Amino acid sequence: MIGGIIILTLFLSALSVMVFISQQYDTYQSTVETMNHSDINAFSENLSPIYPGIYFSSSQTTSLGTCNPFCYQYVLYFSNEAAIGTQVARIYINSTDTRSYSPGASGQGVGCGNLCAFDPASAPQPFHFLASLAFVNPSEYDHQLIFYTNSTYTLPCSAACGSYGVNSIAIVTSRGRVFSFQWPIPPTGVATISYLTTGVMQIAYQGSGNPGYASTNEPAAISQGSGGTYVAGVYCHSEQNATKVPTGSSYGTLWFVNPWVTMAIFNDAFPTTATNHTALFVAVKVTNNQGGTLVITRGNMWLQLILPSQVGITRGLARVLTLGGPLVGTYYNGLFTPAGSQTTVASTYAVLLIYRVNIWSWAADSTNPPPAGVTYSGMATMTNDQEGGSPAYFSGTTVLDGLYDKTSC
Amino acid sequence: MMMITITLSLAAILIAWTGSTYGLFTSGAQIFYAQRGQALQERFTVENTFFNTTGGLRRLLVFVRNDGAEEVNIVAIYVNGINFGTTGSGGTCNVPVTVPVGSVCEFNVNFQSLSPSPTTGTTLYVTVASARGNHATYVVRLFIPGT
Repeated sequence: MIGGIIILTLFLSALSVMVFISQQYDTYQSTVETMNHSDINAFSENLSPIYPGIYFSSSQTTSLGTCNPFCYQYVLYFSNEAAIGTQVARIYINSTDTRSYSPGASGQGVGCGNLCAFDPASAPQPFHFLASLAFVNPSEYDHQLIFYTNSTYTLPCSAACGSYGVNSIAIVTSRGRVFSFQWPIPPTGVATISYLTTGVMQIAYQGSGNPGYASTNEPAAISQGSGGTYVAGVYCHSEQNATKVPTGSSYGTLWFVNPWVTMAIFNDAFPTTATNHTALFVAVKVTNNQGGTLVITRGNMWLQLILPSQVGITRGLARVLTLGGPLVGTYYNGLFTPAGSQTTVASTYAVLLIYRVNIWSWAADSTNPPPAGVTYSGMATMTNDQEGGSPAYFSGTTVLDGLYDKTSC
Repeated sequence: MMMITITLSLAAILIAWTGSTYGLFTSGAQIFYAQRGQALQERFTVENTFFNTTGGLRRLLVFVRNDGAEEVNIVAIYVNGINFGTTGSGGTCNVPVTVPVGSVCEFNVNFQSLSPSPTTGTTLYVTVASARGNHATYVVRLFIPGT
């Protein structure tokens, strides 16, 4: 009897201890689950920049808050590609290119060569971003987060710097994730990806399979951009917008397909009689080496191909196919500026000149016949283009790409 | 009667011993789980670093954010396995320091005494350790402008 009571007492004591420890363990497991859930949430975050990445214009200055005399205001563009909301806790910017750069407002920028950290603030302050814009909704596209430097710091620079990724941007979230990208956003693609993009311009690459260029290399039709389809074994690029060029600062997208398709354009342009039947866009990267600013307003480009007068005849009267067209606009400082508006290119900076070649003619040329033994195909390549008559004035590499726009497809 | 007394006495001793043992065990378990729970809720990350190598300086700014549910007591910062003190110059925190939840601390680590002397290309393995035994790591390659 007594033994039974003792054993029962011990058993109950052990039971109570087990219950107590189980409670502690449950509490601990609850914490484990909570933190696991927190980790899953953190790992689910996914922010990615979208073009233009960071936007700045000379008019984006503000004297609000503690900005005295003013702050430069920037807009950071990114998307939340996760199905979970994200709170931006801090932004770091490290300028690897610390050249002084004046975006047009007073003062010379010095860049974030010593690392700039931007914290949330309720009102504009130097080196802060607006806390009211810090939260990014799940799957939100094109979130715009406004941040401010002071009156002397401006970020170098843009595509106009002649090189990409001169600023390293890191977005830190409240869950401890860090998402970084470079600005200006470098072209992506090449190799395994079917196109590279600088935002306003995208260059599609031909696939190596048969048939060659696949419509899947272009995304679906986009506003003022393009899309492509295959019709009867021929790739057809189509444009949505009648003007076929981006307008103003609308960030329309020009699609450049690779030279293989460019070659097809020349071939195709030759027999057709329809004006504007095909359109060719040529992007010329020009670096301003003249020592001062360069103002670009308008221009034209003419391309000539000297062809034999007949198949099999390689010497004698040549036939000259002339393709030409106007300057569509410039791509500078991260923006597309249509021709007619001035683009001011700072010294040592590069600009992309975009020509549209949509006028063609052909005529006999007795003064420039092709040399003996040489036959010409429709492929054109230019390098080291010089303009203005002085080699020291401009230097750059000409990139010839085409936008295949065959309306008959 | 004597046997009953002896039995009861032994039983009392046994129960007392068991009780104290259980008590120690439960309190130990309680402390263990509480500490583990706190350590588990501790989250901190090295969110960025920046070299200050102007002139002969060999300093590394280390930005540590507390993104957990508990405040973090940072007790040491190791660079390539060596515990470096922070100068505070240019930084906002010195070790040891308690970082509140959601805050970020900027440590200025002077790694000048690393041997061999670090040069451009040297890989630095940075470890930030907390008093609860957690640590955050960050790997960065040294770049000294002009070299």
